[in-house]
Amino acid sequence: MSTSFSPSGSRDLLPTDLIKQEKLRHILMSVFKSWGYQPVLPPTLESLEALEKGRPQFLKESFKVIDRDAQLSALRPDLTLPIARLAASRLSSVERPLRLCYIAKVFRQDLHLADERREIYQAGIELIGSSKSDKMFSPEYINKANLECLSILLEVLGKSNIKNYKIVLSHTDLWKYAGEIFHRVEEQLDMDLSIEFDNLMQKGNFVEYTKAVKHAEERCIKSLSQSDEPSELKACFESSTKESPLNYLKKACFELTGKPVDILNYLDDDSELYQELEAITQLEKIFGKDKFIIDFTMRPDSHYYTGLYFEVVIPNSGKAIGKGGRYDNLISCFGHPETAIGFSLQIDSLLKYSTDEEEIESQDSESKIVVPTHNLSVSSIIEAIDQSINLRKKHPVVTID
Amino acid sequence: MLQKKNKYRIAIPKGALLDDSRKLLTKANISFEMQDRKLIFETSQKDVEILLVKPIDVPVYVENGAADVGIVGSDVLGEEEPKILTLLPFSFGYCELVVAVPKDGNIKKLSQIPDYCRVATKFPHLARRFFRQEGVPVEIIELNGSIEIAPLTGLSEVIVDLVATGRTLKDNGLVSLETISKHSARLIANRVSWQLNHQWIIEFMSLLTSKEINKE
Repeated sequence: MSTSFSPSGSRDLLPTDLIKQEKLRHILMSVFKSWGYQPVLPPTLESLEALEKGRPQFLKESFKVIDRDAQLSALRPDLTLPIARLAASRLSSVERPLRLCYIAKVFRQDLHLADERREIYQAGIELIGSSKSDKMFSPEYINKANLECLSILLEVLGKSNIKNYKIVLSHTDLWKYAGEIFHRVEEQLDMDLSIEFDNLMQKGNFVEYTKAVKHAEERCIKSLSQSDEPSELKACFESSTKESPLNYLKKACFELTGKPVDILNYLDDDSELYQELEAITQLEKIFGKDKFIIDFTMRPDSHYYTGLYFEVVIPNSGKAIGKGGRYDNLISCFGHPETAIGFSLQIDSLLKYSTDEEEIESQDSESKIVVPTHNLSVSSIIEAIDQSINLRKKHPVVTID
Repeated sequence: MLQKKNKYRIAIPKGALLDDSRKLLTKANISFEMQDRKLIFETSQKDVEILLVKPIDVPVYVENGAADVGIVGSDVLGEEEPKILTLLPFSFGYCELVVAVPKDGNIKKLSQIPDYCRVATKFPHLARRFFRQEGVPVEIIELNGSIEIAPLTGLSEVIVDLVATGRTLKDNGLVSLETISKHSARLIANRVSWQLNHQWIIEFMSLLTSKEINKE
């Protein structure tokens, strides 16, 4: 391999890249700060044990480092986890809610997509806990935090000149609302089917998902036939002549994606899930129409998410440029139970899809002043440096020739 | 830079699945003229274009969002494990991934495969996973085609390959020992296309499935 190029999944950033990046970083940070968020920066190395606690997949995805005591560490593959650790330890007695933000790199070695990187520059926020610690798990406070977090996301996307983006909403509690009959079938089989079903949906394998529902149905019928006792579930399976009572679950993967108005129809108005998502769509009153899509088939691949989960997508990009959600159990992993929500955006993707066309180099060349050195004698170099220091008081860029 | 795309793109595979894929699309009112050397086609529907690519590349186009949906064998999906949505199974492209050996050789059943024997295949992941499950350590030789001649030329003792009719195996003096997995064609989609072009994909799917039922 040629040593003139950076390893795959990494790249050199040149001055023009960095000027754009710096501008964007400034925009992001000023939005975060204007909402009262303060920057933090966890160390680049994180204990592998702590990472694994939050998300077992990190074991595979991270770059591992063995230190002198044979302790395993990893280059941080994520920032939410180290920040959760921080919130539970050094920041545990700081007033809540904690409003923290970061712009930092994460490192992963799981390359899949064409433009996926090993070194990912991320910007994000974490909103941790609540001023009312006794009520923070109540739906009202969950809603409040959701709406604050998503408002910041919407503002940041707008100010970064990202057009046509959509925020795709999902929720980990989907299976809780999968219907009475589903839970009866689970009881009958004495199995938590939702884990299997969720996993297949997460992998996007709707063919296997449909098969799994069918298989569960067959096992249920078999199990029901073995007992002579009449049960409601049995009656339900026997009475439906045309369609199986679980048919709606088989079709679920094709019907749970679309505009919020259409998808929310499937939910009971009184349910917490409906109210939580409906509240979010109200943000369109402030930030404009058609910002949200619901896709319940989009299941988070991190177990640390609990409740609301979302991704930011752009037409034709083929992938998400950012994601976030609630992680109400993660901080308790580190011994401090409290609610939390956050998001992270990939800075490279934001730059790629930003429609900001403002020319960048011109400012450089136009306002640059050059101080000549008459010869290479030390005294003339010293003189030029002295002169340039004075000129920099008025001019942004002064170089010495 | 980002390729501007205002059409729905369907990636279909060259080779064994091509004719059936075309037939399937025609029944969904999408037809196109094949032209020499051209690999991207306009269709009878103004907002749909077709990409003609190698089977193994179908999920690559779909995963990266360069195509919205694609038709591909489940063997390719098993081997590559792309991050895509698998929406529908189709009743064509049936084949089996099998372990095969020379008919006249010493190996008559799976348990006779010796440790560290060489296995030639186009499906290194699936082959490796299978032998690991069987507890047989093997050396995988990755080939891109004409797997059947590997045992004839002494390149390997065993092959793992797709079999549709069994003709090619037979013609090359090979016999199947065991079926690893069964495969057929699938409709796949990009997750973001699924979210943003949901209506179109759902309609497309319902056309494909209704016609399939009529056919039978």
